[in-house]
Amino acid sequence: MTDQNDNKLRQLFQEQRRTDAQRAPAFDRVLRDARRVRPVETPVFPMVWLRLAAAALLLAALGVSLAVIHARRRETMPVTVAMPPAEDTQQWSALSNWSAPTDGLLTLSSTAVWGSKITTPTDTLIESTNETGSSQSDERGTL
Amino acid sequence: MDESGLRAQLEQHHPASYGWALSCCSRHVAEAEDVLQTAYLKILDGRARYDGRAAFKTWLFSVIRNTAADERRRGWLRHLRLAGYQQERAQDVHLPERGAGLEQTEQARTFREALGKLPRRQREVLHLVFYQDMTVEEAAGTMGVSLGSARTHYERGKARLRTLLKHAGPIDHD
Repeated sequence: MTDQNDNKLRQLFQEQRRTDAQRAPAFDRVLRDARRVRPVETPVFPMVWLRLAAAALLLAALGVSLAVIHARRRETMPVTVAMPPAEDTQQWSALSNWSAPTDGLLTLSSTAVWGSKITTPTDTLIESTNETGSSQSDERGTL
Repeated sequence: MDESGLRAQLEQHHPASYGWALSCCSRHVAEAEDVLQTAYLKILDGRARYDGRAAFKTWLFSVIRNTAADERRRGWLRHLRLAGYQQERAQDVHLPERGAGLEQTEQARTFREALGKLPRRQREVLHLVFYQDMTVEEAAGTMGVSLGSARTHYERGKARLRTLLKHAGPIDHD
């Protein structure tokens, strides 16, 4: 089947070949015309330097466009910041909120110290111990 | 090979070369003659040299094919430069010449039209095999493509051409 189809195609091509052969210009005439009306060779890009310049220009354009694409990609790229573990952040916030018991002393540097009573956050503790101490001695005295 | 030897070879292959030039120029008669003239001059002036690596016919057909491709590129540039004028000129000059080729029978006309619808590579390989009686390998050498690629174009071209001819109708398929 394929061979038969091939034969048919071959037959059609051969028919075309016969017709072309009848219409083909004589060899001598083609050669004579070629020598008489010699076609002026105008290359697509006439000079070598022009070809090189065109190639360089193309390369430069390609480079610029690649650079632009790369820059745009970098701009649109999402910035990912690695977050520390939740335990660490809790510890850090506890540290930043922490205040030492003696922090109150630091504020005294600009105040008049002499002749004034300085109170610190720990004074309350001392007072409460004094109170409990005196009540205990009273109890002893009664005994 | 000296000039007289080359000339004798060219003369021997002239009818086949003309058919091949027609195929390369989409059956433009005037263009095909121009291409043939330029190719012959290239060969006789020594701008294209036969080194004996392939058969003379294969090499000659490569020169014709490359010359036709150059002409097409030049035509494309001319078209860019003189877009409007060129279009008018093409309609005035080329179309009547196209029709003058193979209008003798309805079958030949249908065949020519179907062939014209094929992609260039498929058309070329079919022409080289069926018209010029080349092997697919020789056709590949002429076209400057690998044997595998030529085979693919050959098979696809045949299938497409058969389909086109079936749709066209008048050609009987046995």
